[in-house]
Amino acid sequence: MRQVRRAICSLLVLGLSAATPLLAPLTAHAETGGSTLTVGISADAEDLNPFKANTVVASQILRLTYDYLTDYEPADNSTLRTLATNWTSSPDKLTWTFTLRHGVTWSDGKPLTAKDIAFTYRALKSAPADVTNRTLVKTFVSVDAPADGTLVIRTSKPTATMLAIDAPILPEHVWAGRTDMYTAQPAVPSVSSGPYVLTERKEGEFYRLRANPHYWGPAPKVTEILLRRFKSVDTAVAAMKRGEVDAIGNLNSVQFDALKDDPSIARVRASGLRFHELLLNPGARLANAAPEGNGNPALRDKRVRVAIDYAIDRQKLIDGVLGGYGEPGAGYLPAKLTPWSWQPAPADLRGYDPAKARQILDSLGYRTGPGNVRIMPGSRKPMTLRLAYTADHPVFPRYATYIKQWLGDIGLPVQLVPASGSQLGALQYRGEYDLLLSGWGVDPDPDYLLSIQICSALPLTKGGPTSSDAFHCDPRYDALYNQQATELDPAKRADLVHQAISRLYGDAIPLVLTNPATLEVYRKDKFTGFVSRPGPGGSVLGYWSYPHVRPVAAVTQAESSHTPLYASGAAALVALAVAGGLFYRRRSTRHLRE
Amino acid sequence: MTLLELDGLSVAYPAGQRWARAVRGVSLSVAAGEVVGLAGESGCGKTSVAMSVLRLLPRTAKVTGRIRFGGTDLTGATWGELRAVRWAQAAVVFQGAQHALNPMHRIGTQIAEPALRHGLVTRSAAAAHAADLLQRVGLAPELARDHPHQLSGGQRQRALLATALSCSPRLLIADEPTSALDSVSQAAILGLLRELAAERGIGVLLVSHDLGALAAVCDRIAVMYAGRIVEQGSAEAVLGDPAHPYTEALTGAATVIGDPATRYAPRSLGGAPPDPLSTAPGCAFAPRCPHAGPDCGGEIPLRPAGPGRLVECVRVAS
Amino acid sequence: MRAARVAGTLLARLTGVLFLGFALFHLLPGDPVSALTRGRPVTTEDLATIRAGFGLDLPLWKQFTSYVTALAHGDLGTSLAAHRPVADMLAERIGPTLLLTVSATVLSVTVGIATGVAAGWRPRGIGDRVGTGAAIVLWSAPTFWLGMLLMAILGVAAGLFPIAGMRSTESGGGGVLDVAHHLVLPCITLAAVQYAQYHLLIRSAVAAERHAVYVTLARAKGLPDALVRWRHAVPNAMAPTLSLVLTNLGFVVSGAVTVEAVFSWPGLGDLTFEALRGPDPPVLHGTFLLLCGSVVTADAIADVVLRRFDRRGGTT
Repeated sequence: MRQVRRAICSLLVLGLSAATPLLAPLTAHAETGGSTLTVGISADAEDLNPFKANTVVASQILRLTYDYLTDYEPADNSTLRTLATNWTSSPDKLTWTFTLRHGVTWSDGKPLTAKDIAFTYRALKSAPADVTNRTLVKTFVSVDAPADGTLVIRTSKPTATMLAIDAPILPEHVWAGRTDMYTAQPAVPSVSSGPYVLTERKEGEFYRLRANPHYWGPAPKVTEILLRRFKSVDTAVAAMKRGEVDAIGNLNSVQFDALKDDPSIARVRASGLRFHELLLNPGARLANAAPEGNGNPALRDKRVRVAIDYAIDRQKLIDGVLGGYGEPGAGYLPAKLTPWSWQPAPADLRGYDPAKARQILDSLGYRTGPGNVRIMPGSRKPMTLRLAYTADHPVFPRYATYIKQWLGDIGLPVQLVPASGSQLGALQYRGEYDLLLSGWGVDPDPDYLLSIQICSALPLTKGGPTSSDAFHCDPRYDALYNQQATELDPAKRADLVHQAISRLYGDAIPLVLTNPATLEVYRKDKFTGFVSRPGPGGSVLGYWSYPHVRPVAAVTQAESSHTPLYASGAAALVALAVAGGLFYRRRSTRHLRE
Repeated sequence: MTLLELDGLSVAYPAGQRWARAVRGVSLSVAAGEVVGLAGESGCGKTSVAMSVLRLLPRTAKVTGRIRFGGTDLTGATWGELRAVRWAQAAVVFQGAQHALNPMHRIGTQIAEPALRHGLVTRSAAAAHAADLLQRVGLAPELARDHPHQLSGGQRQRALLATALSCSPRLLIADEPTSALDSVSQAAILGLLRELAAERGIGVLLVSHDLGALAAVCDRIAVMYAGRIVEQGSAEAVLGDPAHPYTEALTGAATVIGDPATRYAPRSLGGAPPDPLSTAPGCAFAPRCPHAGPDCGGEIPLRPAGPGRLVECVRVAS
Repeated sequence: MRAARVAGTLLARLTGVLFLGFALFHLLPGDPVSALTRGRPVTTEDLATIRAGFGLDLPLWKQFTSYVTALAHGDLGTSLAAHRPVADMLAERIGPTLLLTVSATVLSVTVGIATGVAAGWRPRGIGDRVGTGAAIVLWSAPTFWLGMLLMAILGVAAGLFPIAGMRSTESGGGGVLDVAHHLVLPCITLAAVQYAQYHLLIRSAVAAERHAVYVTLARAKGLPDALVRWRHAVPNAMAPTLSLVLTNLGFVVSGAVTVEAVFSWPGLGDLTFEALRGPDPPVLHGTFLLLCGSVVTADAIADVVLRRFDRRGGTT
């Protein structure tokens, strides 16, 4: 009995006295000085190896800590002169000469020269296959550093993406000669040249970035960025109300709407650089044109695919699934992605028109059998279409429900095929689907997203891997793709990209459904100066924004963080009193018990 | 000197909406240095009588009548007063030694515990006290360090007796202390009880179904049937010349030591004991009685039948 | 002799876990490489190379032998997402998980015993009704909901405890008191949900013990009620609880996925959850082996300990 009471007693004391260390943050804050911008993140960086890193968080950290040869202007996606201040290409378009910025140093004080860049690109070129970034340098023949401030790159063919080499530049004196170069993690603190240095890394908890005193550009206003991991956005929102987090991205519409009336929180509805798409299996083929998969033959007819597109009410998807936060999609790349985006003229837009969808199917000889189910011409079997999607993300099952309804209405019953992420991947690259829901985030440069629609992306062998997104294969599209890839004039390249996307729209294989908005919130009573990308109405939470963010005023902050302190002090006193009472009781009854 | 005096004791247990009357107005006394036997079949209420003395019956049991111990009325005693009487004044040797010892504790701890808790020995003296008691009941003191499962049945029964003696009680209530023991152990335990009564003046209430065992040690014997004492008197008188037909049946059949069958029903008796829920008036034994007559259905008075002898039967002339 | 039999059973079960682990993660549909590279700029040729690198193009029996050989060397493979050894990742996550689950188990056992004994000693009394009612309500409350509620009340409104993570993010965070402070809410949530099983078990065991002869004997000895309860009734009622605690210890490793998610606790549950989202089969496989292995081992330990504890299982 005594033991148990003693145990409860000490638990109580331990538990509630743990409330007192709230004092700690204040003192710690006083020591470090400066201001910290805490950003809630919902996933880990996983791998920060600069060659291999591929998660959203990792690329943000690399962008904040390292420099890249060039970057993108947040306002309009044009090229931002970072390490490279100027460049020329030879008349044959095969040799590029970059002039580099003077006086750039690594965070350890050593100078950053063309040799470091050459080292980085050569290392990337000779990287193993699983270093996916190596496609950035696939046309490079040689990379040379004739002077500290000059970089010369020779390519095997004209390369349009020379100003979009999204690979962090590494210090040769740190990385050269390492056998684990393609798996090693950056040291903490990192030796890097960007506005921040990675100073602490706790996987599953947080990443701490401190301003780099050697940074060549304007010194960041916030001296520390803390990317703090939250496993649920709801927790992150609660933490934001407590003042532990200053900014959170990727809210869902319910969480976003719930913060509507909070005067201290700014809400940003960023038109998204991403899209959700419905893929129609056009009759999957291997690279050698042998048939692959088991797609419904009806979908090989472009006119059937077009009819399906007419049956989809995109506005309903936005309202019903995205809580109203999104734009209807049409052209392959989001309208915000200037100058690359192309959208159909109003006359060519396939809007929601189920009557037209029915009319097309009728005219093709798809007669309606029992139960309003259509029958393919030359077949006796009623139509059904399998719709595959991943249940891992909450929006896809809801898209699927709507689509099932609409296609059913035009006489094409849909069978839902929910799958895990990897199962869906397998169904997709084997062509074992009729309809499939997918989605993409869009890079500033369109090259990669265009490349997954070319014929040479098709699988080489049956069941073999493929980078093709939807078994799209159109020689005229390929010609346009190849032309844009070698066109160095941005305006001409944009025109070629537009033509390619317009053909893609005509084929109706990927049907872009929506461009979901990105919902972001931040404490406007504490921080200001966020920069949005692309242009106004874009996202404000990203590497392009943080170095420009500045605290609103120091006074209001300090006050707000005091309140919980008093409360916890009071609680600790109460706990001690209660515990003391128990102890006293125990002593007073001691004689009786023994 | 009368130690224990039961007067019109009744015990009833709730059985659904009704009451099962296990004991129906029992009056009995035990004097210092006297061994009183309480005999009867299983289920006749004798254990309820034994347990009611220290108010050890389940909380739900309804107890009426009077229990006087050494002049104090225990029926109205507070829990504190009761705790003072428990073990220090009166101790119980429980039925079924196998389950009566706590399997988690060492024998020595269990034996010394009451003396320790009642402040009769100090913590440091407790081990010596336990060893002493073990020796007194004829066990090796080393057994104190063992756990109950390491002991034989006879050893456990002796250990239980040693526990009962921990506080040198004035009254010992022994409930079937010899059941499930071999005859040698039985004789030894009974001998010990006799000795305690004779040498230390301890009053013993010995509850048993085994008339043979009772005959060996008791000064007086009370025979219970269906919650009532149907006959009581000196041991020789009750056993040698039973006045009640039930006692007669018991004495004629029950002396097969160690035969568990005899515990449940004397062989010569047909039928079964009455339902404790029954509220029928008259002699409860009548349905099984070879001498039953029309008078047995009425009120049966307890009649004296010789010196210190009471019998509850119409056949006994007043 | 007994030890040998326990060890034999343990070994057989562990082997079973090994086979099951291989079967589950090598024969399931889905392709790790396509999952791994979805959305990455890879060419079709590169994909084939990566696939070969994982040994996925080898016959199944070869995959199995290399799997067993690697395991024997403590190699659980490499995470597809983090490109790090799975063993390292498990090692860094097991500490926080054990801290949370063990402290929550201690708390729930303590609370469960205290309230369960009180309830079982007087079944159907007012204490029993209130205590058992509360335990069952908390048990049936969704963990996520309970966690959010505690977070809202004690974390946000009262501001007493941090609501996420296991240490302060200010530099210098992570001291013992700091971690304990962060532990409070997740630990209470987990314990609140879990203690009911100990409460109910202890309650019924104590209720049964009340009628044991040695408990009546203890009362007859003139012991105060508290001593009768805690010295005589409770220790004997502990056997089933001890067995539950020991069996549950195996599950302690699996963490508390929901609680870890609500309070952003950096443990194994979170790692498993993230690996499921990836999906990251090597990590899933690692957590599977760890969980099954610890459950099987805990069971063997429970077997040995309980036999020592329960003396009634001895002679007779």
